[in-house]
This record gives sequence, C-alpha cells and structure tokens, in this order.
Amino acid sequence: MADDVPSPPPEAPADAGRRRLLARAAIGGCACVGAATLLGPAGVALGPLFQGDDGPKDGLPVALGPVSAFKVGAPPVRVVLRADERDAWSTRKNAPIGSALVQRTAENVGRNVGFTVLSGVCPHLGCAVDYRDDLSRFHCPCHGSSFETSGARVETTEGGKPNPSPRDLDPLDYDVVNDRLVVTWVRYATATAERKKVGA
Amino acid sequence: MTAAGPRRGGGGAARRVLDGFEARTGLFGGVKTLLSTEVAGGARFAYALGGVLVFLFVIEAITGVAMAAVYTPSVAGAWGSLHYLEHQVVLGSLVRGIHYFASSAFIVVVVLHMTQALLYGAHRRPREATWIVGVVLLLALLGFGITGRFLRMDQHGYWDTRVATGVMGSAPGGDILKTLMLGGQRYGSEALTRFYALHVFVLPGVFGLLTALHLAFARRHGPKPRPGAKPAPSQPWWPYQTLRTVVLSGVVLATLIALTLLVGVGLEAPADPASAYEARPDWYFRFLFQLLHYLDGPLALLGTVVLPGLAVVFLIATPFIDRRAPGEGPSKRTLIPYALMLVGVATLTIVSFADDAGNERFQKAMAEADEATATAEQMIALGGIDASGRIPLFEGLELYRDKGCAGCHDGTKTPSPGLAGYGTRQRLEAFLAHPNGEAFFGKTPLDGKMDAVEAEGDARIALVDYLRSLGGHAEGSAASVERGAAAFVEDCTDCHNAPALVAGMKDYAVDAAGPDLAGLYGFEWTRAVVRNAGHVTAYGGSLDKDEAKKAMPSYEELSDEELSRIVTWLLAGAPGAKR
Repeated sequence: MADDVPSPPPEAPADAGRRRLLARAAIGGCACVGAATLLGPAGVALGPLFQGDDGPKDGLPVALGPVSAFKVGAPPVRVVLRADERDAWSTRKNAPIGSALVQRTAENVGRNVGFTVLSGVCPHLGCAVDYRDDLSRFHCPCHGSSFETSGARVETTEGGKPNPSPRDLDPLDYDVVNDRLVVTWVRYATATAERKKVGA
Repeated sequence: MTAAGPRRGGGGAARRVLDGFEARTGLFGGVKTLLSTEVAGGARFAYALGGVLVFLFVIEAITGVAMAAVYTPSVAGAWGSLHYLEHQVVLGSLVRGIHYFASSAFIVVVVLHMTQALLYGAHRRPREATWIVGVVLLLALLGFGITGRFLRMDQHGYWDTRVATGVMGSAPGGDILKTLMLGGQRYGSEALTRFYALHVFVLPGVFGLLTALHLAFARRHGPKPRPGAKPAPSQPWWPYQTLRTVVLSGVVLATLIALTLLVGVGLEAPADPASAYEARPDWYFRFLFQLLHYLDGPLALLGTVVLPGLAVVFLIATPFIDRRAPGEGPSKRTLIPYALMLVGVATLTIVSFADDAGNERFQKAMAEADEATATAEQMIALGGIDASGRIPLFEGLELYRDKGCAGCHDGTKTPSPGLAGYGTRQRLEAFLAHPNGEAFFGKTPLDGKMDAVEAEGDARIALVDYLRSLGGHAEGSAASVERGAAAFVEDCTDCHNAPALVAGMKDYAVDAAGPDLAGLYGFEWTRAVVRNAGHVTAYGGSLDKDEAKKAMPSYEELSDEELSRIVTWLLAGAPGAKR
C-alpha cells in the first residue's frame, strides 16, 4: 500500500448490506451505460439486415444494342452490362455491373419474346459463368456448374460429377425498344434452390 | 515493495533520477521479472515458435499501419492507392510484400506451433486454457485472411471474396453473416469499409487481446519440456531463450523479404464484376475450395459446415480427448485425427494446385488476367487514374473491344482503318502520304476517294502544321500554319470546306464531298465521327447512301459517357489497338 494513503478504519458489520446494495447498483449501472454505449454501434453493425438494396426496386435497365446484332441460330454470347450504378453514398456512371448470357431464339422479338437472356452469375457461389463452345453449354470455372443453353441445370457436369448448382441459371427480363435489346439487371441470392431477388 | 531496490556504488545525479523513477513506476523491475522467467529444462528452439508468432503479429501491425498511411478504403481509392503504394511510395512494395507473406508465414508457423505443443503434451493439464485460446487465435487469423484479400479490390481479391462469402452464405444462417459482413448484398462501398473496419480495427483488437491472454496463461505454467527429455537445469528467458527467438525471427523475416523480392505480391487489374475471371482462394483456403468439388448438392453442407465445424470442435476439445498424464508421450487419440486432418488438408491443397496446373483452360484464363493487368499498367502510364478511381484509357480500350469496334479495326478481315496512333501528327503524316494504304482507306468504301498529298519538304510540313492547328494542336509557327492554310485553300477545297470559312458560315457547303475538317482530331470532331462516320459532314459526303451505311455503324446505343471514354482513348493514340 502506498505510504501517503491513510489506512481505512475497519468496516462496520452494518455496512455489509449497504455494500451489497451498492455492488448491485454498480453492476446495473455498468449494464445500462454499456448498453447505451453499444446501442448506436450495434445499429450500424446490424443495420444491413433491415435495410433494403440501394438499387432500383424493379431492376436496372441496361441497353445492349440493336437486336440485329444477335442472329437466330448463333451460339449464346456473354455481354458486359454497363449502367449507372448506385452504391451506398455514390453513383457511378457507366460502371460494369455484371454480365448476361444472350441468345436469340426467334426472328420475332418483343417483351420477353425471342431471346434467352440469363444472368452471368453462377447460382452456386457467384462466380462468372461463360459459354463453352466445346461443350455447347454454360460452364462455371469455379466448381464446374453446368447448364443447357436454355439455362436449365444439367444433372451431371463435365467429368460425370454431380452439378453443384442448386438451380437453373437466373433469367433476366428484357424488352425490345426501338429495335434495341434492353435487359433488366437483377441480382439473385446464391446457393439457394429457390430464386430470391436481393437487389440490382 | 519495488523489485529493484536502491543500488549501491552507482552514485551521481543520473542514477538518483533513475532510482527515483523506478521507485515511482516499478517499470525496470517489471521488465526484469518478465525477462528472468525460468525456462524449465533450458532454452529450446522449439519454444521459439510462439515468440516468432508474436513477432509476426508485430510485423503485421507495423506494416499494416504503414500501409494505412497510403491505402484508401473506398471503391474509388482502394486499387489506385495500392497501385501507388506498390509503384511510387518508397519501399512501399516491400512493406506490402512483407505484410502479405507474413500472413502466409503466420499460418505455417501456427501449424508448427500447434504440432509442437501436441507432441510435447503442452495441451494437457494444466495448460488447457492456453491451448483453447490458441485455437481461437487460429480462427481469428483466418478472419484476417478473408477480410484482407477484398481490400485489394483487384480481380483476384474481388472474385476470391465473392466465392468465400458465397460459401459462407450457403451455410445455414450464413446469409445473415454474409449480409452483415458485406453491409448488404453488394460487393461495393459498404462491403469494403466493413472489411476494412474488421481487418484493421476489430480483428487486431480481438487478436491482440487473445494473444495477451494466451501469453499470460503460457507464462503462468512455463514451457512444457518434451516428454522423456533428460532432466536439465532451467535457464532464464533472457538471454538464453531470447536469443533463440530472435535468431528464428530473423530467419523468418529474411524469408519474407526474399519472397517479396523474388516472388512479389503483385496487384492484378482492378476488380471487374463483368469479367469472366476464374476465382481461386489463397493457398490456405484451397483445401476448402477443393473439398467443394467433391461435396455438392445436399453434401455441400458437409464441406462448408460439418467438416470444418468438426475440425474446430476437435481442436478445442483436444485437451479433453487426450487422457494421458502431462508427462507422458503423445496420445494416439489426438495425434492420429490431427495427423489425418493435416494430411487431408495438404492433399486437397496439392490436388487443387495440380488440377489447375494441368488445366489448359485455367492457364489460359490466368494468362489473360496477366495480360489485362499489363494493359492496365500501360494505360495508367499513359493516362493515369482519375479521382473516381477509374483508368480512363483502360475503360476506353475495354469499350473499344466490348462494343464491337475492335472486331473491324483490330483485324483486317473487314477492311477498315487501323487506329494505332490515332490523332497523332505521325499518323496524319502517314495518312497524307498513303491515304489509300491498308492502314487507312484501303479496300474500304473510301478507297480512292482521296489522293495522296504531293507537297514535299517545308510545304508539306506547313500543311500538316495547319491541319494540326484545326484541332487546337499548336505545333508549327504562325507563318508555317498560314502557309499551310493557303496551300489547303489552293489544293484541298475542291472536296473539303475551307475551315476558315466556317466561322462566318460563308461559302460553307454542307454537302462538300470530303469531311468537314474544322476541329480535326479535336475532341468534338472525333466524337462526331465516331457517333456517325457516315454523316455528310464526316465521311458520308463522298459515299452514296448505301455505302455510307455500310462504312461504319453509327453506334447510336453508345451513351454519351461511353462515347467520351472511347474518344479520350482514341485521342491518346488508341493505345492497345492491334494495328
């Protein structure tokens, strides 16, 4: 004990109850102050569970050029989607936001007619799916998910392994405006059998 | 009370001050007590592993703070600031290299440290708490790995993180964790700042605290000598054990520096969500990645949750599974599962790398990724990175390739002008000399529409000076430009409007055969040509309607933004155009 602090007088037995009460008050005080301190930070940390996506609710329209660029019978192509993206506090003009797999299936085109337009995001874990002409299928380079050109999941992939993808490739809505293909970009949850929209 | 009492024979004012300081703080005594801890059975290199881990943590903290002095945790700033750190900041690439390789070394040394503890029985009574805290430290270490990669915001870090968080999200309840980590569903601004907060504040805090506990527990019981070792006298930590720890730390640091200099970390092209990048995790997560190749569908849960979960439970429970007395040799009950685990992880890792080495498609994709990185570097050297983190020339080149321009202009299958050096004086001179050469109008609908310029010497230079001045490039003297203008009016205005007339709109013929040259190779002029090359004021005047349509598509779907990027790139000389 430091030599400049006088020794305290012995505690009277009557003080024991008072000490217990004060201890309880101190614990309660700590809990209250602690909770009040953590309230705000907890809100910031857990907020995303209650907050929606920054993107437009109905998806982000992306113009892809004249429909004549896509020929019936040609293999699917992977196209880069560029759009003005809203990301938290910032907007980014003409940002590459994702990719789509596009194949024209009919001469007659219109709203959701005449094309197969699929999201290029693998439903398994979110890697980029591409068209493999040697397999005539869509193929994910990460774990080998494999899909027909219609987007339908195949049962066994290249090498006879079971397909890790829990569902078919996700179709994207599209429309033909002034002879130009406009795709509506939407992001879906990965690794779920059910198709769940999570943003755009 | 104080550990170091007043010394005799020291004398002098300095000594009195030091003694006074010691009497008030007890610091010297405290340090002395720490350093003189007895190492039972004598100092060993095996005991130095823990010290090396502390050293690695200090390295990570110091290099991390140094990097934080440059790194900018935003989508706009992350990649560019790392590029700056890597290429411009003095010793920046060394700091980053050490930080990166130290994280790998951390994993290696942790495994050695754990193995040594198991073999020596250092997990047994009374050191169980030390062991368990150690296992939690290992998990926190993996957390550093996951959060650190994304901060790079290059292709590798970005796609790895997508896969890693994808795995996390596929576990039951994992999507909540994933949402919390990403701050939503987007691999963008909020994900980056959250990963940053975790990597730089939360995890170091947790790791530091746990390390302090681990060390306090370890010190309480001292090192555990190898079972069956001959009894030997103990030695104080200082200097016997200290020296061994310092030597081993030096070896580790030398290895980190060598790896940085010989291998390097590298920074791939900026993250591009639209690319078809082949994602692979860092080596210490490869086993999990590979495991998911075999376990899919309902079995995937086995790979993402059950097996890793069992491994963690096993490690935490090791002290209780092991029933042997503290002084006995290793127990088969713990050593066999532990060895199987290590062998399994090592095998999966090796198989994963071997698969990729033998996979031509993957090798090609990696080569493409390297090429993209080299191109980004080249475009930065020419045109820099703008404040919003974009590389204008890189984006221009990508649009040139994506939008179909390269389809004609990069090859010779469809006759079209080559664009290399677009907008430069050299290309203009070459064009005037051979307008119908293959690099220009040759074989296109414009073939033969313009004659080569015959002027020689100064007259030729004057003409080029004049033409360059139209787009605002003041390259020749006023006299030369004037002389060139006179020659232009004399020889060229049969087809081209004399640009000098444009201002007054006098004698301006909108249907002049040749392109309007006002603002030639300026931004607006080039923009108008790309937007509609077949327009009468561009190349359409010399072609009939059908030819004009065929000449070059008008690319109406290009947004103004995209068009501007392409023009900026073109006027930088179209770097990266194949011809």
